[in-house]
Amino acid sequence: MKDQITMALAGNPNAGKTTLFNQLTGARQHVGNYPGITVDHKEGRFSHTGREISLTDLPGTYSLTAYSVEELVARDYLVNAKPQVVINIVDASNLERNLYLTCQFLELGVPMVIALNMIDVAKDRGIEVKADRLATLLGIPVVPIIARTGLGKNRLIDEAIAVASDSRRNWQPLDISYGDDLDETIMSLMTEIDQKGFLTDIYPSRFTAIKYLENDDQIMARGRTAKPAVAETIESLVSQVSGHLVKTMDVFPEAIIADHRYGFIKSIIRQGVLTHKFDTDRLYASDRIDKIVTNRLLGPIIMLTVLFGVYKLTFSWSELPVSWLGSFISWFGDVVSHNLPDGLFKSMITSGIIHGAGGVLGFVPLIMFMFFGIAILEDSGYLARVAFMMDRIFRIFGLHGSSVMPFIISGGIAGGCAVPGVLATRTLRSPKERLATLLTVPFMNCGAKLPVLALLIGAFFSENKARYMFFFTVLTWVVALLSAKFFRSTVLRGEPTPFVMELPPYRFPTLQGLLIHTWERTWQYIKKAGSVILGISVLIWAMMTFPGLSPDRIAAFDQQRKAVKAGFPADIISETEGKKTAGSEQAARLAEQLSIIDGDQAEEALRNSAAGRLGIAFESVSRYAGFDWRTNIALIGGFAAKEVIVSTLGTAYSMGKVDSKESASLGQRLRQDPHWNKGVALAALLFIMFYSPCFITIICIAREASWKWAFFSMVFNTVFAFVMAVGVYQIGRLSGLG
Amino acid sequence: MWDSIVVAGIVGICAFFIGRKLYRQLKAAANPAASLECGCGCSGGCSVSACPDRKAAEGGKANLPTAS
Repeated sequence: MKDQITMALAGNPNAGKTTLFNQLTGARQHVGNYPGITVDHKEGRFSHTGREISLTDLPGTYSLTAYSVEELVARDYLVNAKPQVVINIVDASNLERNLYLTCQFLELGVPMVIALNMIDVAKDRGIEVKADRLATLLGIPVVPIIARTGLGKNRLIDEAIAVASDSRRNWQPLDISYGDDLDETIMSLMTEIDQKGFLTDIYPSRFTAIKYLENDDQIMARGRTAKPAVAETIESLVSQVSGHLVKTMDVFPEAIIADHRYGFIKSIIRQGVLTHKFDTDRLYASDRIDKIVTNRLLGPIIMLTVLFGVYKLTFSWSELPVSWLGSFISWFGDVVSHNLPDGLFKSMITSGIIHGAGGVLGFVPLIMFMFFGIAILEDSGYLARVAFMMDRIFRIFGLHGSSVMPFIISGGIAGGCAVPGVLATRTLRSPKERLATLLTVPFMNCGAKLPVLALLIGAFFSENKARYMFFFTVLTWVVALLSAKFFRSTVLRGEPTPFVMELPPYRFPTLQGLLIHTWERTWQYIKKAGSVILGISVLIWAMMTFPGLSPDRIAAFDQQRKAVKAGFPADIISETEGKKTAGSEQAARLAEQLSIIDGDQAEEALRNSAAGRLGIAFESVSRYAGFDWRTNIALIGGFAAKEVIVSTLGTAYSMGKVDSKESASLGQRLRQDPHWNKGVALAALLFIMFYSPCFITIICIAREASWKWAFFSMVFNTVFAFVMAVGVYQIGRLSGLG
Repeated sequence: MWDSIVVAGIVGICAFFIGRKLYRQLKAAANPAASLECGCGCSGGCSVSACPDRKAAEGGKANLPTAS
């Protein structure tokens, strides 16, 4: 489009980019009060004063040096897509640190407008930023805004359009002095770069020179590919300077560069840009809370109490709605069953859809309450504190502090998802730490495992549901960390890298925000149950139905029915046929005997089905963990998506139940089944928590690492989970639990 | 008879729908630049923004060791 203006939103993590993106484009991208929400860039469009604008939200970065994938994504986008203007969103309450990235944008020369965000938070902290003064000193427009409310957004876009339309502003790199030694080297490098046209089509020559001094892997690799001879000359020059600096000052060039950038920022800030109304040592509200909440001793106790509280409230508040919804689904199943003629269609609707996918939908209230609890923790900023506290523990197990957030996103507090968890590992700089994280995040209790856990805990450990849920959550962390330690001590051995965690200020969550986050996640759950899970339920029902019994066997069962009926007078037989409840005692006896034959036939048909045969084939191994063939079918289905375990059990335990006087829930049916007991339930819970990640997570691992690692994750997790399940089941059996 | 035809139709549609989804996801895995179309459709609040974009960076795979 000719008139379309391309803009990019860039800034530090948790500076409010996604909030501003949503404000401008009307999108509802997820916003959380912790850093690293945006892993990739995303695009939106909107119009402003008749101009069409394409806006790209870039991942939050602290610098433009390619240490992590996010930084690469942001930098590559800027140099490749060359947006007409970059809106650099800067946290006014944290100006000095935020301007570090601004410095690098200026060095790259991108046309830029600064959106000075969170001026309200800064004001509360007694910080006043003089936007006009900052604009004069930096030579670019600076617009104070509050992204959350949309204040100042129109003026911001006006300024951005003006910059985009002003061709004189385009790509004018800023020169910052890095001291005599480095300035001289930079000049020499620039001469070499300009003369040989080395990467000049992508980056300004000064920027390339500085990145070489900063030891930027990506640019160095590009240089080697583009012009190996020039790259060698430049690398040799950089190596000489680097060696000289280390020898004379015991410092690397990148440290000098960082120091001078901060010096440049300080010199700007000192010129009347920033004034503190209060004593700068004054403890802000967030800091005061953090003194208690992240205390070495109290912090973990508070964290565990909060976690237990979330589970307690989730289970107690959702108990009634879950049972109402369960009763409604059972009642609906009975109504449909009574009103449809016997046959395949009725079986598919009742067993495949209502008892299958309906069983998954039955947990919607529980999921909703759980997501509400998580939304409170997330929006308030407490999740970032959890990450901060876990960082200390993670280091013991050879993981990086940045690994904490992928763990939490994957379901550290039950209810996440391993897919964004795997993607979030992109923030890790060390390949080995990243891989160790990537392989262990699927152990967390994602939202798909929630209905399975709720079903089995509700059926077999109903007396202490929250306590069991809490125990299983802690167990997943322990197993994930021990596995990580195992990986880091064997196949992924290496030194840990340092980590600095940013703690965003606490914010009081708004009810609207909480409801939106809860609904978005709950809706995703409902959508999945109504689409993918429904489709898989129908396919699994078909696998449980076909090929069915041979005509000989059907005839044999018919023969049995005839034999039973022969013992009763004709009026009793006619009383039984076509009625759901038999009146006389004789009719009731006949109905019961016929029902036993129906049940036997259904059982044999199920065993003879494709899924039944598959389940039976695994029974010789799975019986060591206490799993019968029906459970095996459900567990195999769980490879597609973990919720399928619930739907498949629902289908498997309703097949053959053509007519029933009572509408038992799946939990009740499992409890009544002779194959199930507390020992089996515990073994099943452990197996489900730890066995192979679902199909889509496997694909994500393959994409982020390789198919070899995806396969490794599948096999390792399944073997590990099975060993655990066998151990627990056998101990339970010996101790009389099973 | 009619119900066998209806059931076969529904099963066929489901097989197509699920098969297509799996195929797309596998295709996305083979091409890191392609989207998983947020196809995780995760129950666990997989945030839209956390899902890979169509123009996802190719750098994500670059710095990982190979399985040993």
